Amino acid sequence: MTGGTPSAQGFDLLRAPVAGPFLRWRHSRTVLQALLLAVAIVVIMDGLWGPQLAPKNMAGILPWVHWRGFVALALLVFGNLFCMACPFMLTRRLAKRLLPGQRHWPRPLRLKWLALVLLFVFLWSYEAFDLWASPLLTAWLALSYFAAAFVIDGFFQGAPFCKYVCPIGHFHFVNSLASPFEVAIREPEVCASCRTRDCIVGRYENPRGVDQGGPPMRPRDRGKLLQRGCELWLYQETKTGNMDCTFCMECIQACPYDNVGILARPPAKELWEDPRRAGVGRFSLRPDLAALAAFLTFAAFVNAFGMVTPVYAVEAWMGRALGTDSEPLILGILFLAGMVLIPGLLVAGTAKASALLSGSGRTVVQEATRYAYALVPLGFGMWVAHYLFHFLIGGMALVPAFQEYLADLGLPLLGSPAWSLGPMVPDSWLLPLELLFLELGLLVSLVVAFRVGEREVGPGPRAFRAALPWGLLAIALSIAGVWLLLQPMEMRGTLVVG
Amino acid sequence: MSVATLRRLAVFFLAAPFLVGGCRGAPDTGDAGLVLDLAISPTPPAVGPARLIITLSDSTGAPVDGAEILVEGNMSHAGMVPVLGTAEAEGNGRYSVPEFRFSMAGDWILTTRATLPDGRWVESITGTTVVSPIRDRGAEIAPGAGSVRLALLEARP
Repeated sequence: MTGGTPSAQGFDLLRAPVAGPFLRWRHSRTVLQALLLAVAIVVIMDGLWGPQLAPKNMAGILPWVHWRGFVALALLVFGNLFCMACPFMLTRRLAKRLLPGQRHWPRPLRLKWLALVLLFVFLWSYEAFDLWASPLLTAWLALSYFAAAFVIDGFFQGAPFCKYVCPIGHFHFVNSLASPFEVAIREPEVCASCRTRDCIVGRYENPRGVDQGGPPMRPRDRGKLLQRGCELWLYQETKTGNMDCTFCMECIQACPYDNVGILARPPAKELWEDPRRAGVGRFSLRPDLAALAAFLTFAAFVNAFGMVTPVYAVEAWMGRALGTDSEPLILGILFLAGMVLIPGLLVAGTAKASALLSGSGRTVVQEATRYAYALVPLGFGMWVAHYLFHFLIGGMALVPAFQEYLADLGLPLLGSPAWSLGPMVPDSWLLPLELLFLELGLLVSLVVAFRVGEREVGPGPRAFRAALPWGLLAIALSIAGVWLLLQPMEMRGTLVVG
Repeated sequence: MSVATLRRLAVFFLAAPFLVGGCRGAPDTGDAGLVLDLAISPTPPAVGPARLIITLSDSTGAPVDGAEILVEGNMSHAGMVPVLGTAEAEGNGRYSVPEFRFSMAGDWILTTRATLPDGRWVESITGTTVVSPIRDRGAEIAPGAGSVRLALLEARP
């Protein structure tokens, strides 16, 4: 069975007006990357040398208000746009020219555990060191990202930084499972008759050999590389869905038959399907992926908890109980409990109940590895609610900050800063919108849980019984989410004054 | 558009922030001969109105009158609309903003700028933690919770 998602009759973004011609253009990704690289440079320069008051600094505004908001929007209406436009990958191109890049990524690290740990560290650092309030640390974070991408992809084959390391990319990968677009083949028959497989091996000056009836030639014997294939080892014919897909569009450019598109699909459908996916395998056999999905779901709630008033009472209580005033330590314990230990217990208990109720006879790990993906839409809903809150309440604040930025540079091109700008929608819209995204996520999670149940134990009451514990877990989490969204916001960070 | 043109555009585009971005330095705090002090009542302030009391003196401690004083409050998180206030003169180097309305709990940075008729000016930055109104609604969260994060931050090396 091929895992591709043929959708010849469906909507193909590459065939849409305006967006289609742009995305088909060979340099479209580079243009998007150059745009974000320019933004990254502004963030780094202003973060390092600009005023260290976050609301007045591009490193305080662009990453934590706008980038996160646009990421949420892009995942919601499109897909992994921000991996497509990732400026850090420009350093990979440079690294591939300057460094050997021949080593194989260590086998023990070819799973998602490292990315999960780094995501935890990223989310913990954000709170523990108040990254949103520190332009300097934000600038160093961006610089570290460029350095890490350069070094890792400079010494190892392919794109291990994207596939195994990048915490931001893995946030995109998991949440894009619920996105409405994917890079996929148009006609399976075309791939079935393809002999060159340029989408994965790339296109070179000289043909591959097999397409002319001869033995396959090694890439190094085929002359100059004209077009890279997928560096994350996703072979289009059996690629399914968005996991590990950076929307780099190399496969689209490489395919000599123009058989790869950006196709619309029912959002989240891939969460209840379990084909063997190129470069990924079956979801149901990847405990690391299931753990990442569950982790990101619970992290959405813990991350939001860090922004509301009751967290300070919990921190104070923990500080007294542990006899410490170290905020990084207290938050580390809080996050470890909220993102790892409690989720582990809840997921294990839910999996056990699901196995018992459905009579599947599977172990807890086997059951959890099949159903944990059902939580992804709920987590995504919470991330969207949280990130869009910041974006909608302060998106326009970029205008006066940019006016002041230019004025400080001696280029008062846009007039005096209009500090009254900030909200993009009336305040009264915020809570209903947040609740809408959260509950939409819950609804989709319930559907996914039931569909996975149908897939695993067959249709009917058994599927319902199998899905019931997961549905209850999702409902409980969504109630926690509603409570969180109803709490007063309280944003504290490092004060930059003496 | 040729590849060469694209490359030139890319180089220009990417170089521009480098050329201008480094020129933005830390803000100037104005005339060193003027001393500006800000106090907030109540302390700690809660979400809602608070009174800001500002004193302006010269380096000998003599009060300075006749200044125009503006206060801008920003949260430590970007994206929140700043709160602005204009101080009223009370005499003897004392000024006040009777109702400075803090819009959200959390850490605030107040930038106070005094400008004298002769053009001299001074600016000071003051940090404060605004506590949540949750206690006003009868839902006490914990004694001292309003200042715990700040205390932790102060303890950080």
